[in-house]
Amino acid sequence: MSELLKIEHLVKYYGNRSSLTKALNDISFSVEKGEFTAIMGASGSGKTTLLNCISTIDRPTAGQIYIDGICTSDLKRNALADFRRDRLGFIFQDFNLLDTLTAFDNIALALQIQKCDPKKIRGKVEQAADRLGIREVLDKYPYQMSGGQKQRTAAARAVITGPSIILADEPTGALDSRNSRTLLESLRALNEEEHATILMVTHDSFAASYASRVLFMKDGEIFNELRRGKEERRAFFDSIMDVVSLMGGDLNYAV
Amino acid sequence: MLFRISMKNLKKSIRDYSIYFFTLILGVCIFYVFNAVDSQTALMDLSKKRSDMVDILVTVLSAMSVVVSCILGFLIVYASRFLLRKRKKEFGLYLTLGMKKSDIARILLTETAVIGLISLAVGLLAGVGLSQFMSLFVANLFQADMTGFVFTLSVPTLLKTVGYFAIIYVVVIVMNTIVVMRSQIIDLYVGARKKEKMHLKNPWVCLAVFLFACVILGIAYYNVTANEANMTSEALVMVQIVLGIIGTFLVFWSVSGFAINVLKKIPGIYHRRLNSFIISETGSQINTFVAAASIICLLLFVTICLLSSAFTLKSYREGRIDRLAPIDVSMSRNMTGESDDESAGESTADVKNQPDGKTVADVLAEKEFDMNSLDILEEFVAYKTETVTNQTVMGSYMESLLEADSSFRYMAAEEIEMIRVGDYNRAAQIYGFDPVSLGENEYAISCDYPNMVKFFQYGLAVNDTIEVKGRTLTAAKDTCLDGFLMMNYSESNMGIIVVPDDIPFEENDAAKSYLLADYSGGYDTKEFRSYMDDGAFNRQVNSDAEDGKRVISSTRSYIADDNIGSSGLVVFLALYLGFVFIISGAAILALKEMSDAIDSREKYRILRELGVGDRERNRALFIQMGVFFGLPLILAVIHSVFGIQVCNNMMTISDSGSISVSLVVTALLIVAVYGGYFLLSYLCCRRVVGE
Repeated sequence: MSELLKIEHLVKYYGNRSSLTKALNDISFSVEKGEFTAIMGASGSGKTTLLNCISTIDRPTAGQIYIDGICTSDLKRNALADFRRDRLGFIFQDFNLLDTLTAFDNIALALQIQKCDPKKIRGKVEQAADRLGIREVLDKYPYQMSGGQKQRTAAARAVITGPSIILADEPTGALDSRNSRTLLESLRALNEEEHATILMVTHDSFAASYASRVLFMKDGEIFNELRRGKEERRAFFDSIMDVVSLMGGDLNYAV
Repeated sequence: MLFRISMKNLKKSIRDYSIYFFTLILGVCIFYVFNAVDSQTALMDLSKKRSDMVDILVTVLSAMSVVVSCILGFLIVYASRFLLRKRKKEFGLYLTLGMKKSDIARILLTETAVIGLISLAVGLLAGVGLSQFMSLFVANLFQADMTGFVFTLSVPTLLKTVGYFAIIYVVVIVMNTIVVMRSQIIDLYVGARKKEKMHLKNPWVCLAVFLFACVILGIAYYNVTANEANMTSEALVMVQIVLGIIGTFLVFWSVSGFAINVLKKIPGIYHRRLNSFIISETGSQINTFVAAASIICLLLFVTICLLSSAFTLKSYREGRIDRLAPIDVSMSRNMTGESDDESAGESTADVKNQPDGKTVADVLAEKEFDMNSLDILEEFVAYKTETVTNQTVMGSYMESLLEADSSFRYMAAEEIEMIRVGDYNRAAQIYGFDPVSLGENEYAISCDYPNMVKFFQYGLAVNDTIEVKGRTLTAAKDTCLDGFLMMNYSESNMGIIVVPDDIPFEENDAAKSYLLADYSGGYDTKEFRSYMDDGAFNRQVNSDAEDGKRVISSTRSYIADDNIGSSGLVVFLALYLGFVFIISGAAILALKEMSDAIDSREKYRILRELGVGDRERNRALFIQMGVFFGLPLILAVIHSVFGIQVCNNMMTISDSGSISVSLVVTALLIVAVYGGYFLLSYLCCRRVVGE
């Protein structure tokens, strides 16, 4: 398998000389094509900063990020927008759907931004909606949908453009446990059946247990790494819990 | 502590609502600039007539400024309440943290006071600066020579501006305090979070309402233009205006509903680029826009009509100076004791005095007027006899007029002046009218006062003969000759009969002496014109003249001054009101756009993360704002197509040349001010959503 995401000596500092926060402190790792990776860590561990840097929303202080072999820090503002449009898919904690558009239009928007032929849009959107089980809510506005439906709509929007990597920031953070489970099952199906590469940031051990690989972050550094291998999800969850309690257990509050 | 909160809030809102501050400053600035006209003209070399006009202007301005300050006051109060609504959550937070309502009121008071002081100071500074350029414009408007460029500052206007705006700000403070004191924490907190649901209107209802609105507008348009003759009472005209207002409102209410639904049905358009986003955003924002759009549309409409009418009037009247006053001076003198004022008419029944036989030139020489100053073009005498009155000329038509209204009897008894055709044709040549040729026993009527022209024409239709000195004359034409003997600032020849040269008038019939002249070289100076126009000539020549036997003079310079002065006045006032109207409308619109942009920051952030580039995002913003600024303008322009026709009808101007020029000038002004606001708020919004 080829290396899709490669991060080398990534550093991100906030603040000024008097008070310096090292949000990311020399992080290096890589993600293979088709991997479902979760990044876990407590609040302030730097996991969201890491995701923001990868998603080119934030610029690192030092170090390089390569996606599909392209170094993102070399790209200019408008080229970055095109880069996000063509290679990245986003799922956010608070869904980030546009409330004046129906689910269908929200999903279609990602295709429109890619200047897709309007005639092909309907077929593609319906196909993606079928995969995520939201066919029946396509004509509804976000305020008419449940949280789970909204997040699956957001997921459909993220995958419809066929991105190189799907970046999910606390995707279950605003969902109840039943909806979380449905969403995570969908993500795993995307990963296993369509070999989508997913990078998910979460502080929820349960969500992380759906991944094939978990990176633990603490104080801006990678603290540990777990791979599921042939393990059952439930067993993997237990292994994750062991690491979490080893880290000081301060992740448990969210479970 | 409270003061620091106020200052911090101010800094933040100045960035977000720079349009609001800009409008306040502009309001103060315009108020000062237009009211300071007296100090601007103080140094100009204006003739007496024109400076009289400026005095009238100053009086009218001070009255109008009350109206303008009401409009600006309404705008400022509206805008500040609008901003207050946007800050509900902030106040809710203060209250939950344990702040008292009176503290919040104090924060607001400090903010308003500081905003007021800053905007007054900056606005006045800008106003004083602009006022220096304004004096150039006013000089041009009143066609005055600038005696020199001197810095002017009008202290009374300065104080007046401060006073008016102080009152406005006090009203704002009082309103804000009332709003804050009456509010509940829960309202403040929830009010800010309450999400606007999509008010989806039924497209068929919208289509029906839209068609209905079009029909209403069509009826109103038809009635005020093509069907104008039937709009006899004021009530009927008011009905058309009300129809227009309702139609405007309904168009804005319905147009989004079905237009958006139609656009959504076309995937080739709807699902191309960011169109679905643009259309939906516009659709959701337009619901809160209907009332504002209607008001803005009507303000624009009034402004367009006002400006174009004023410019049309100005260029029309100035263009007519050559027709109304082709030579430097015309003078006349009644040789009998009759009142010269023909329109008064009452004294015509007096016993006819013996004519004294003195012509204008005789009197001028007698009073030692410098005859070298005049290059006399023509002198002649007009006659009156008892047999030629309005009654005998109009015959049975006059009798029907008398039956309808007995007050016509004075006019009926009035004797009409008669002039020999040779004299008339020489005068016509000098003034540039068509000459007339009469047969042996023919006469013609020269008249250019519109109502009298009508009367004479009806009269000619029923009676075409008159008796003069025992001879019966027949009318040579069934219409009036266009012309006059004395120049005047508008058409006011009430009727002169042109008769053959060989009518045997007696010396006693001589009623009026005329003298037409140009100023001879060397006398055509400012000093001499001022001597002629400003009373000195009158005092010298008529020093001991009986009433009614004065020498009346009418000069080209006086007529031109009257025309220039009065049309300058109209243009000045129209510009003042027009500016205030457009700025008020555009400011409301700009403010709404700004706050919508601030509310949509999140949406544009999402778009950016989805990979929308700056150019594409700016295009989306530009289209949305273009729709909001464009819709009221488009409807206002359609209204104006008809409104301007009505205005021109009212002013009885059909000169397409001056109309088209004024339309171009009006369009340029509207584009400059309204377009300027559009561009400014677009740039501000672009900055807001780009953060």
